Amino acid sequence: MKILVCVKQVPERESRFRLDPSGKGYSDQGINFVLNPYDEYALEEALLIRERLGQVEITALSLGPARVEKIIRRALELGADHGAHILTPESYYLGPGETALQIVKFTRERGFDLLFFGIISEDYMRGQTGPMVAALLQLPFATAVVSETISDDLGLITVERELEAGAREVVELPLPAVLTIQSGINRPRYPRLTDKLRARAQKLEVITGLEPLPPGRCAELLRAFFPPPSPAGTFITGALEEQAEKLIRIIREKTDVL
Amino acid sequence: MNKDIWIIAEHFENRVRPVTSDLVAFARKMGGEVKAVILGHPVKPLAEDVAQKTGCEVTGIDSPGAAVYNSEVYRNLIKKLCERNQPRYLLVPHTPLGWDFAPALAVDLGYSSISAVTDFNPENSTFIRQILNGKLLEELKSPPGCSAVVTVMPGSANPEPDNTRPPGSVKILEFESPPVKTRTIRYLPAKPGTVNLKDAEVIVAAGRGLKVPERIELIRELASLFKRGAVGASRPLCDQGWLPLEHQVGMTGATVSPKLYLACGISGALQHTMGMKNSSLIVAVNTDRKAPILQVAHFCVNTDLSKFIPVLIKNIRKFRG
Ligand SMILES: Cc1cc2nc3c(=O)[nH]c(=O)nc-3n(C[C@H](O)[C@H](O)[C@H](O)COP(=O)(O)OP(=O)(O)OC[C@H]3O[C@@H](n4cnc5c(N)ncnc54)[C@H](O)[C@@H]3O)c2cc1C
Ligand SMILES: Nc1ncnc2c1ncn2[C@@H]1O[C@H](COP(=O)(O)O)[C@@H](O)[C@H]1O
Repeated sequence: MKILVCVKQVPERESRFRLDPSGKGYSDQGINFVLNPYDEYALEEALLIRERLGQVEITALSLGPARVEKIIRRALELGADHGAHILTPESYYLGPGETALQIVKFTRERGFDLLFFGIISEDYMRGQTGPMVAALLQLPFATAVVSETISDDLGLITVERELEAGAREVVELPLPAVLTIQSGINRPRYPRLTDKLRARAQKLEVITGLEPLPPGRCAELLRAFFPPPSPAGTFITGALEEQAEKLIRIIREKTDVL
Repeated sequence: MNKDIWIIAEHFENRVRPVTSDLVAFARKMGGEVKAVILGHPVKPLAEDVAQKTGCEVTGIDSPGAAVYNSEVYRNLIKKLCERNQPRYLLVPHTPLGWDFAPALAVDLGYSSISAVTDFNPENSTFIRQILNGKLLEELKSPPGCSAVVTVMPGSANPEPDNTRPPGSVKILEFESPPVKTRTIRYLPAKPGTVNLKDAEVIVAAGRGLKVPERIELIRELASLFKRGAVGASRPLCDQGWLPLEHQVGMTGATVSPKLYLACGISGALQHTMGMKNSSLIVAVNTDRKAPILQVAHFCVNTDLSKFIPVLIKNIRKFRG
């Protein structure tokens, strides 16, 4: 069985952002980039399937500028068998449709049985890439997957997908299929030293040249901007003791819980 | 292509879901003719309900395959409808159903796809959406002449009260079930929890800003000082197993509105604030002066929670005597 895991490089959650010169996105200067947390869950699920079934080959694929090599190596450290990098120019904006198209092109003739995505990327937060790839490849898919089992003949995958407020639904898909993985499905592992060494030496497949998108398919990004300052919020100032006293006073004024 | 805005109504167990009215309100804010589409089997009572509540002209698509949600059925049948009469915008709720089929439907139709929008700017006909967990916003446009599938965050527009307009007309179209590969097997309702967040008067909620699981004791202690106090959590804490799932607040957890919500080390992602923004008094304890939680918090203590909470506990104890 062959599994593709699409991994994206995103800024660390606690980063502070500035706009980039184009005014359309964030500047990557001084940002510490990491593997998208949801993709870490997706990769872990692929590793668990390999442990369950044996005979599973996992490819980690990422699109982005030269810096994304770091997270492809991270995926190898964690246990992916192959790493592939679709190289894009620096500061290049990849829309959802364009991203999906490149992934689709990569998958052609590689015979993946399962294609794993994160439910969402933490920078652009679109949640579109997985379902778009599935639609382009005419494959069945499920989003927000929080558990999966594969039938003995490897023909079917049964998943639980998360709905609102703790409810779930069970969906059954024939392979090949696309899943977008929700956080909490597993507990991602830490890399082993031997895998770290292997990953460092391993060659990545690098793909250059992007497939152009048919016209009219993509929304136009006009600008990125900071949210207006919060309308309501007041800062409670002072030293710790003073802050605590002020807060108690506010709670007593506004509620009857104290 | 016409100028119509179509909204896809959502329903579950024979009831139209309230998010449908959010969507209609959002579409009306955009201007233009708003029509509703609903899929189901039997669909007529649901379509009539939407027409009654929202005053929209409703097209009900009746197909045995649409009795429960199935992404392939939805895509196939909505596509048939769009081929007859192409709308400018197709608005879908950004819910576990909507985000599931919308991007794939956009591909099927050759429309552009914009997800999780929170606002529309009528001046430039642009959509606003959050990126980077709410730290930045972006503004996007579906170019003229290009139809778009847009998913809209629940709560992005204030719905009109039901029945404020004369009921809209209802048209039912019947379709056969399209062949599908994906099968929906069953629905699993939420497991009943032992923590009753809904009845709590005070929720002290913990997020990733806790840094280490031991600090949950601080949160517990603070919550225990209130008669009806409970511990809430952001999703990552439950994902990591620091707290059981039943403590989770937000889109995929509990929706709560206590008298006091104390968000400790929670950044305020939309999926979290959706579940707590109607609390009477919201106080954030956060080291980041720009954390998105400040968009909903009434007060903020811009301090390290591990230093502040012990002092707060001590002072509440002192006050209580
Ligand atoms: C489909 C979907 C559904 C989701 N459903 C939910 C849901 O129901 N509920 C939910 O909560 N999330 C949900 N999420 C996840 C959500 O998007 C966010 O990732 C999550 O809410 C972030 O949690 P957090 O605020 O604890 O962590 P972070 O975003 O990492 O924020 C940590 C905060 O702590 C602050 N901080 C750091 N150190 C300190 C300190 N010493 N003292 C004080 N403050 C400090 C930081 O400034 C930061 O603001 C969902 C996501 C998806 C994709
Ligand atoms: N540039 C990229 N490279 C690799 N995978 C990506 C990329 N962008 C998106 N993805 C995948 O698609 C998922 C959802 O991303 P998004 O649609 O941007 O929210 C991510 O979790 C990744 O699995």
